Amino acid sequence: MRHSSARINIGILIIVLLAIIQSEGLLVSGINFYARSTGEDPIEAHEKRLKDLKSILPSQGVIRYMTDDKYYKKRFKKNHPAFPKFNALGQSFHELPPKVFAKPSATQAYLLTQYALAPLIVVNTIDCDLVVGNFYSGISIPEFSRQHHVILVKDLGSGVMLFRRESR
Amino acid sequence: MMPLLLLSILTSLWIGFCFLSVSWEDRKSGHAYLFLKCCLAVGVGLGISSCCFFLWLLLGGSSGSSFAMMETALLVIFTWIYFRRIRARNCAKEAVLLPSSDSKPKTQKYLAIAFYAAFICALVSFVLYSLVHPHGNWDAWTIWNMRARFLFRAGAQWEAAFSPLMSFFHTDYPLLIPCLVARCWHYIGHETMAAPVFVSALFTFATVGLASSSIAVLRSGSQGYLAGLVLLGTPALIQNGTFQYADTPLGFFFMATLVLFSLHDSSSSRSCNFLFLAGITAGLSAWTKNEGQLFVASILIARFALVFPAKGWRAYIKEMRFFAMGLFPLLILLIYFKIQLAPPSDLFTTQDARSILEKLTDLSRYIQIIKAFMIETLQHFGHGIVFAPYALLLGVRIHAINRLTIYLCLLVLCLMLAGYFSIYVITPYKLTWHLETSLSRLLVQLWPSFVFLYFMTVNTPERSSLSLDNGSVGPSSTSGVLK
Repeated sequence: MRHSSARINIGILIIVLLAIIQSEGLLVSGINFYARSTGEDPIEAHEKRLKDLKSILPSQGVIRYMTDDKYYKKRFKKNHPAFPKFNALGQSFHELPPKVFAKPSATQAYLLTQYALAPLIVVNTIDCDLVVGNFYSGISIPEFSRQHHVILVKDLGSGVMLFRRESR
Repeated sequence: MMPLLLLSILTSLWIGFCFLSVSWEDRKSGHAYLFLKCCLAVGVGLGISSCCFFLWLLLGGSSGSSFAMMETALLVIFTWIYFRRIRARNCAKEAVLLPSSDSKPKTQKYLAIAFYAAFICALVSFVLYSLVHPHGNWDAWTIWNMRARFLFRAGAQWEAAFSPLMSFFHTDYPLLIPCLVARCWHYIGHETMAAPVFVSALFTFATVGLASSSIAVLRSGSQGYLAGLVLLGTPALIQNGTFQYADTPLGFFFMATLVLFSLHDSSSSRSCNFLFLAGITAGLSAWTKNEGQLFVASILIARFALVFPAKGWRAYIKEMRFFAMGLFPLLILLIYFKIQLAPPSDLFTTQDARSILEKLTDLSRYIQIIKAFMIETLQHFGHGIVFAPYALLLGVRIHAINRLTIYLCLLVLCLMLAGYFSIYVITPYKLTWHLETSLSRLLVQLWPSFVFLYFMTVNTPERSSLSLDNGSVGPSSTSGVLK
């Protein structure tokens, strides 16, 4: 009987030890994660980057997003000036962000822009009056404006620019 | 800011507690019962608040104070009903006191210490992760918090959140979390990431509390602590909470529904109030995420498969009548949302029948999915391997009173897994990508219910000791504490 009582205690001990080890591991990883963090959350940083832009944009509506992702540029240069055909509802399955941008970081930047500017709807393919430029490498503004038939409204620094579509 | 956030959360919790207490049928009291009610109140209260906020938006509400007034009125009504009920019960003097904590065996006291130590570790870890990433992980800011921003910032134009131009952001997902977060912001008057962090923490730790308290009530105190310890020792569950994903609340509602069915099955009362509450929690799961709709279907099928052969169709209809009373108001809200606001699910609209048929007949997809299920399970829930030696050491005996519950949990979990498997087979996305980005989260949804099922099935330390004292090694077949 003593042997069987020990069996129950061993059973309990197995679960308790494992749970404690796992919890301690979780705590240690949490502490390390916190200690290694650089201070600013990348999402907060992106929101700060777009803060000035947000203040000059309308609070609602639809705006276009452009960036310097290589695949994105190539794809839309080819289709320009008549933007790709879309179904009446908006973006087709093939125009969803992961298929439009080459780099995951470019997709993330687009999604973060949408998150920061909500409830404005930020589209990456449809032609709109206002165009938000989010560039990570230096671009020639006159060349970009000529290529995409847009006029610079304001350069907000850090690669964030607001353009207006040229009247056709 | 913090006092207003706390006020908004406490309002929800109190509404949930009063609502549950009024609907609660058992007259038993005790710490475990009270704790169980409090944990259920977290989900039910937050769920009611989310639905109220959505209704308020539909009725054209846009100013924060008018919503707070509406909710205060609801709070007063529920409080009044609750105290009337309490007075009536006190007059009847029927309350049955369960053994208090003073009579706890030594093992249970040690288990309590281990439980609270693990709880503190998980809580500190949760806070640290949330401090670094207050916006949560990818899906939190592309889906849940993004939608909350639309609901809060757009005022009367909140329906812009469901524009077809936003289809990439899963606008077909239900609104429990976005409505809750936007509701907190309405109370405070501005946005703060403390709101989604708080909501997520409540659901994460209420899941642990619910598993622990329900097992304590249905089986034994020691077993309850062990169930809680297993969940606290599941990093995937806690981390998913810090990600602010809807999978943790969904897992809470799955388990809450199964717990309420268990309470009904083990109750001596003929009343079906627990089924009414189960209908509400099942409905709230459907209001949390699309997988909740699969869960509702699984419950209906599993209950039919178990109750109809054993008790006949009359018993099944009676049960389902009460279940439907709780479920229907939420289903109506969900159907309205799906018809009026949400686009059709991208799983079916982005491919034709021929493409689906091709995928269904592709054996390699099945093999890939099975492999992924095995790998993800081992990677995130590999510590569940301890379940085998524990069951071997303490023994497994399905008690007559818990039989229906155990079979129900088992069948529902199998149906859910089959449902998830089928969706992966026909997914329009690249299968590898879809599995890598979602499977672990789906398993997190089911994990609390699995832990509940496991601890309902294995012998409790108390029962095993009792068997030893009686001179037999195997566990006795008498029913649990509720008898």
